[in-house]
Parts: sequence; structure tokens; C-alpha cells
Amino acid sequence: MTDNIFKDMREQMTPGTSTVDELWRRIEAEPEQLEQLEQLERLDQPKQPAADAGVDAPAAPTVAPASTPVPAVASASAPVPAVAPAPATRKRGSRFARYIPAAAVMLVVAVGVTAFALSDGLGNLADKPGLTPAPTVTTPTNDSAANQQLVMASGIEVPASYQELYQSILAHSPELQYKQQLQALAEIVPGSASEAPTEDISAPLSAPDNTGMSSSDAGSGAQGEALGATPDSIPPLSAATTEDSSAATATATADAASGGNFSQTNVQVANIDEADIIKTDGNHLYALFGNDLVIFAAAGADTAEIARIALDKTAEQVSPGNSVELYLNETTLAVLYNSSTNVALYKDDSSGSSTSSWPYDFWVQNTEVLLYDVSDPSNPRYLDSFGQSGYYQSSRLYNGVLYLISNHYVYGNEVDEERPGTYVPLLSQGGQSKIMPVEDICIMPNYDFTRYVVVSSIDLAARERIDQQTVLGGGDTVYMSYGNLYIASTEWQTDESEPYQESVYTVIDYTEKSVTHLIRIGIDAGTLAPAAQTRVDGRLLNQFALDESNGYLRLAFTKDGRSYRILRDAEYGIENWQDHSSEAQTNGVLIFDPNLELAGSLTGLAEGETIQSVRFMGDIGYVVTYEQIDPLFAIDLADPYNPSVLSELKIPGFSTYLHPYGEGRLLGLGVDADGSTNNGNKLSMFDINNPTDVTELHTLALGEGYVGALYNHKAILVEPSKSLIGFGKDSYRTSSYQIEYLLFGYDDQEGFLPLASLALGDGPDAWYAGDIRGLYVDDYLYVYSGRYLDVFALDGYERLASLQVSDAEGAPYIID
Amino acid sequence: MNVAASVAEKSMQTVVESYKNMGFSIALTHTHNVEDANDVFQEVFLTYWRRQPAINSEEHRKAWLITTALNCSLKVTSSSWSRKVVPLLDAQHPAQQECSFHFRTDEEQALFDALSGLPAKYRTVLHLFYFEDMPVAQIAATLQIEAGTVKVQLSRGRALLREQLGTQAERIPFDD
Repeated sequence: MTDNIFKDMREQMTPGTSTVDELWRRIEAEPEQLEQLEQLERLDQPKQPAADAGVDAPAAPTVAPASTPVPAVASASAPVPAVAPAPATRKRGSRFARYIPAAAVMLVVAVGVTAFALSDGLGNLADKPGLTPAPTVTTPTNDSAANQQLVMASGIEVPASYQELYQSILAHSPELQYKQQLQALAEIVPGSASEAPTEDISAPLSAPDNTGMSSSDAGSGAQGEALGATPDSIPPLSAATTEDSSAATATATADAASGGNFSQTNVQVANIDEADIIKTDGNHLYALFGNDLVIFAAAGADTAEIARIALDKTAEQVSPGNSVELYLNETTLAVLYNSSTNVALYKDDSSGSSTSSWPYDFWVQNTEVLLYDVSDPSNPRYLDSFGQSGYYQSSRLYNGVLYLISNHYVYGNEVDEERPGTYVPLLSQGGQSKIMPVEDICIMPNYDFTRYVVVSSIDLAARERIDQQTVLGGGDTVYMSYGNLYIASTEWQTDESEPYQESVYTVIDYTEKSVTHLIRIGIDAGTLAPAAQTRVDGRLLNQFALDESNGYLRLAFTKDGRSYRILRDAEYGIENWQDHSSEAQTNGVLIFDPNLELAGSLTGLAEGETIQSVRFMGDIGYVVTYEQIDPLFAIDLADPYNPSVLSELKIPGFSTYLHPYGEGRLLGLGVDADGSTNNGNKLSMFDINNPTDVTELHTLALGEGYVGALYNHKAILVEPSKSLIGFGKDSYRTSSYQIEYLLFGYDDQEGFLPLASLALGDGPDAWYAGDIRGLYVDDYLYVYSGRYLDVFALDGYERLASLQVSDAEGAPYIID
Repeated sequence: MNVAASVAEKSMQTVVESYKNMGFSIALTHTHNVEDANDVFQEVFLTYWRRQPAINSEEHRKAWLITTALNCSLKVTSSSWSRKVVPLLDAQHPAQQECSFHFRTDEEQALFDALSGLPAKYRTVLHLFYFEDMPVAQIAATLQIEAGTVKVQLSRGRALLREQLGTQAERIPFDD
């Protein structure tokens, strides 16, 4: 992919030897490690079996006796379960096997054997070197038995106590095991163990007293009885699901905004709000410009800023951080905020050396919701804040309840078995924090990181937390229906076989693939109840890849993977890589019953391509793939046990976002491509009146430029009742950047009608624009573009006002 | 030295050896000067040594190191730069003022300076894509953003670089 200049530069960017030496000096000077090492040396302990197990662990993934090689290698071996981790792979086997209920293992083995026998085999890659995807779309299959191999379900674990949770984390963390071994050895010598930290791990370094991270890991640490959510006792789906969230999507756009003529955030499911950087109530606009919350009176040409709060500097505020997005619920404004607190851990070294008490500081990530009363918008009043460990992942607002989702990492060296607050997420309100109760913790099988996904449900009007739940296993993609919250986490799983001999070489086979874990949490007026989970080979595009209808979950996935071998000749120190082949990517749709057991499936869609957009609309699902044929599939989902392809429309280019547009029409925004050449963006309108014969009625090429709405559904404005489609774009020309907001109308006869290209801001520094949003209120269009708010008349598109709101370039990019 | 200690140190040695260039180069493109890059580089590995994150695969280790390097760089630069954005064409641009890392050729220097002037998010994906040879999916997983977003940021970042480099851009194998 790259050669010459990038490689050359990269070669030059190396740290100098003096820097590296200094790093080592500092590593070796770390008192804790040094002290314990000295203890061990003085003891001159013989090698102990416990120590060995711990000692080996951090060095490399080399532990675990394992049995059979990965199926990929053995061409004619006995069938091996394709996805069951226990016997087949060396990394996952011994450590994880005991956490899978035995029954589930048997089931998986039985299914896997059958599946393997029936199917072509997951990959006899020895027979298929150098796979190239065929140019024609292969025949999809909905053979459930064969497709079962993609899915593995087993039980959610609920720990009975913090201790049990600790043991689980310990088993997943080689570093923690090692640390424990060191501590165990040190304890043998009286008075030699390092002191426990003298200051609470969650106490902030410089303590504003309302940082929400104060002590209390005793908290409500009652060892409550286990929730007992075994597969046999899954709570029934709540009655709310009789309102089908999938069908609601299809009709959502036909309804004008309730109670007023103004636009709202474009959301996946009608009436389930999603947070955004700007909201309106029809009279005012509430927006985030960097860390400033700015409120405007929406008054056409007289639009003006009426209030502003610097969120990261306000006295009652939590630690510095970044505001992300917000909700407006009646007269309460809820701002979602990522804050990081510097925490110091002090250790007291009794040996009297010169590095006696050293602070070791690190930052703790916290997600906050800041609540403001905006009944008088010119005078927003801070009400309260709720917090939880981790960085902000996503949220939803439904019937006045805010569902807040964050991801929290646990670091081995900070974990203290005696203090659950060091390995369990914390919750806070108004500066008081407490530890997540044991009964609200559950553990996903086979989780890879020590990462929790944390969910809180908060009643915004009552300003109280209704419920909380945390799942050890993390989550990246969030989809909510009226009765359930689905959280999926995708990881790139690497497995290696046992080494084996081949002539002079010692060979190890590697396979890598995306694997997605999914959990369903039942919601009912804010109560959260984990109900079922499953695991799928493959990855999800985004939240639109999930949809629930009549209790069944539909999931569109892309399955990928690659495998290779490394051959080593120890005598000559040679290492060869071989067969770095990609398994043909394939795509499909899976349908799960309320227990997240596989009901129906359709796989083998568009082999070699990747899903680019998905929209489920009641009984039909639309899926677009790319990169050779770029078909738009219409899939019949009426019978969850028998999905089938109704039609396949092959068109050049592909949509990255699909939006139901009135009756029998589907709007697509995406890329104008020609094979793999990208010619810019385009709009498409599909006639979906007859799903067995979907056609592209109209299309409009938009040329080059960056359109955020391609990948962010909140950045598009679609209002079929007004024949209005709008989104922001910035484009590069020869001498300057241009940002603009584009408006289109649509008519079945004429197609897409370009209405206006509205220039935003003041031109030259325009390229600093971040996200762009357009909202209408009555006869005016308000466009937010990161530093400016521009106001246009919807009749004639004249610019009536342009307010420069901010100097800074929006919120800094948060990675962690 | 006893077995336990030497094994821990050895594994740390492997980690540092394997990733020191990656850590330093990320630090450099995100802090623009060698002094800060050295600080960040040390901080990343010291943090790794102290925090002992629960790592179960090399992919994870790499992602952890990258994320930490980016966060450390962010912390260092937010204290030493002003937050105010300076137009790229301004000759007083902090990147150009502070950069004390010199590349062999003018072309490389120009590319580095142009890259340094981009908004952080474009700089990050461009660095990981071109200097670390990471595929889009892996960048997306590491940065916890969607693959589509990565692609768009790469495309936009390239455009901004081209804009900045003018005719010099023609010789760069952007490969899009």
C-alpha cells in the first residue's frame, strides 16, 4: 500500500537511545516493583508451582494446554465444532471452558458437529488458496442448520458476590494473576508487603468536592442474592413490544413533528429520541459549541443568543472534560459529558528509601449527565448531575427516561481484591458516589477485555436514577426498541493452533475474524433486566443493523476473516509467512427469537462484498453491499424462520444511508461509484412498492465533497411532507474551502430538485467546520456548523442572519 | 535477578522493543516536537508498566498503546498550545514554530509539517493508515469509531493535505 516516502519517514521517527535509556531507568526505579523484587531476591525462594503459572502468564500468550488444531488446517480431520472455543483453540480453551455451562457446551458441540458435517466446512483453506471473490452474487442460503455455526449462545453469568466477580476478572487477566503471585510471595515475610494505598483510589487529586468520585466503595456492597438469570428463567419480553418499533420507523417520517412545525433529530425508532449537538422546541435552539452550551431565541432575522454556559468551567461542574451531545425533555436540558479526573494513588514505602512516598497518578474516565432547568431559556439553572464510570458510548430518551450507556475499563495493577470499588463501576449523583450493586452485575461468557458496559436509567423529571446494570464484556453498538436494549460488542478474535511439524519447520496456524457479542436487556419504564445473550461470527455496520419486530431480533452482519501460517525453522532462525488469505467475506441476516436463539437465517449474500447500509422496515429488510456489484437486496422477513431474498437490484454506486420516504419510496444517500472508483456522492430514490421488483426511480450525482450525513444519520434532514431533504457538505476547490448546506426537493416526475446551496459562515476558515445540522422552525431554516449559526428563509433561501458563536473548533476528539 | 522479576522485565523489554517506534512516531506527529514526543513516549510505556492493563492479544496491546499515546499527546499539547485554532496558511503556525524534528528531505519535511497542521482527528487516521499501515477496520476498532467515519476522515484529510502541499502532493503515493 505505501512505499517510499511514508516508510522512509516512519523509519526516521524513532526515539533516541538516551530517551529509551531514561525510560528504562524510570521503569527500574518504580518502587513497588523494585521493592517486591528485592523481597523475592532476599527470600531466595525456590520456584513454586503457583508462581510458575502466574509468572508465565504475562510473557506471551503461551499458556493453556490445548488439543486439536483449528479446523482450518485439518482437511480431513474429525469434525470439530466450528465456533465452540473450548476444545478447538489454544488461547481460549482452558481458561474459558469452565465458565460455559456444561449443557451449553454439549449443545454447541452437537450443533457444531452437525453443522460442520452438513456445511462445506468453515474453511478447508488448504483447498482454497488465494480466494478471490466471484463477480456474480452467489446463491444465498437459509439453511439454518448450516448457519447455526455462525452463532453460539450460552448463559449469562451473574456473580453472587464481589468476590466471585473478582475471581472472574482474575481469571481473565494474566497481569493480575502475576501481581497476585508477587503479593502472595511478599506476604510470607512479615512486615515486608507494600502497604495498601493510604488514600482511597477514587479520591481526586485536587478535590473539588462535587466531582462525584468520592469514597464509598462500601456503599451498597451488600452481597445480594444473584439475579438468577439463567437461560431457563428469562424474563418475558415486556408488553411494550406489542408496539412494533420496526413498523414505527416506516411511518415515522410521514408524521410531522408533534405539536409544532419544527424538525427534530432524525432517529432510528419513532419516539425514541437520540442525543444530538443541537435541539429545538420550536421557540429556542439549544446547541453545543465546543464546551459551551448556547441557547438562542429562534426568531428568523432576529435570532439571537440569549444564554451561554461554559460547561467545563462552571463552578458546580465536574472535572474538565468534553461535552458530547444533549437532550431536551420538556423543560429539562440534559447534557452528556465525558470527564476525566486525575486520581492519585499514594503508597507508603516503609523501607525508608529516598523514593519513600511517591504519587502515581492516572486518570479515571467518567460519563456525566448534567441537568439544567430551561423553563426560562434565557436563564438556565443547573439542577443536578448523574455520573457513571467509563467513557460515553450512547444513550436514548424514551418516555422521559434517559438510558445512558458507557464503557469502563479495569486496569490490573489498580485492582485490589479487598476493595470492590477498584474493579467494579461506580455510580454517582450530585457528587455522591456508590459502587454498582452486585445484583446489577452480569458477566458475558468469553469476554475478552476487562471492560464493562454500564447502563443507567434516569427519570429526568423526578431527577432520580431508576435502575442500573453493568455487563462485564463491553459494548459498542446500541439499539433500543420499545421494550429492549440491545448492546453489541465486536472484537477481532485471533486464534492460534498448537505448533506442529512440517518437514524442517515448526508451524502455527492463525485464524482471525470479527466476532460480535450481543446482549438483550429488557426495559420497562426504566427498569433494566438482562435477559439473553448470543455471539455471532461477523461484525455489524451500525445501529441500523439491528431491528426488533414482534419480539424477534433481525441482525444484518458481514462475516470476515483471514488465515495464515507462520513457519519457523529454529535452526536457521527463519520465519516464513504463508497463505495470508482472506476468507471470502460474506453477508447475511440472522433472526433471533426472544431468547436470542437463532430462528431463521439467510447467509451467502454478496460474497466478497461488505454491507454499506441497512434499513429494516417491518416485514422487509433492505441491505446494500459493495464492492463489485453493489446490489440493494430486499429481504422478506415476514416469517422469522424463513427469510428469503425478494429482489436484488444491481446498480452502480451504493447507499450508506437508507431512509423510508413516504409511501412506497426509499431514499438512499451514498457514494457514486464505478467499480471501485469513487466519483463523489449521490442521492437515489427507490420504488419499493413491490419488493420483488425494486427499481431506482431517480438519482442525482452530487459530485465530490465531504457529506457527514453519509455516515451519520443525525446529520440529515428528511421531511417528505414538505418535500425537503437537507444536509451539509464541504468541498475543496483550488483556493479555498467551501461549506454549504444543500437543500433538495423530490417529485416522482421530476426527481430530485436542487433547491439551494447555502453558503455558511464566512468563507475562508470554513474548513474548520465540524458537524453540520439543519433544522427548520416555521418558515426558517437554522444551520449549525461548528462555529456558526446561519439563518435562512425557507421561502427564497435568503440568508437572514449569520452568528459567529465560537472561535474554537468544536469539541476536541475524544479517543478513549 | 529472580525468575519472576526477570520474566516481567523481559516481557516489558519485548513490548518496548516491539512498539517503541510506533509510540514515538504517534507522539511526534501529535506533538510536533521532539521534547514533547520524548515525554509522551516515556509516559506511554511507564503507564503500561504501572497499570498492567489486562491484555489478551497483541491486537489489544497495540490498540491500548495507540490509545494511550494519543491521550498523552492530547494532554501534553493542550497544555502547551493555545486552544484557539490558527488558520493553516498563517506563517506563525505553532506546528511550524515548535517543530524541531528534521527529516532528511524537504519533501518529507513539508509532508510532516502539513500533517502537523491538520485537525487532530484527520492527523490521527492518516498517521495510522500511512505510517502504521493499519487497515481501516483496525483503525476503526482501535479508535472506537465506525469504519465509514474512518474512510471519510481519511478522504478529507488527504484532501486537506493536498491543498496544503500543492504541487508537491502529486509525488505522494496516497493511493486512493
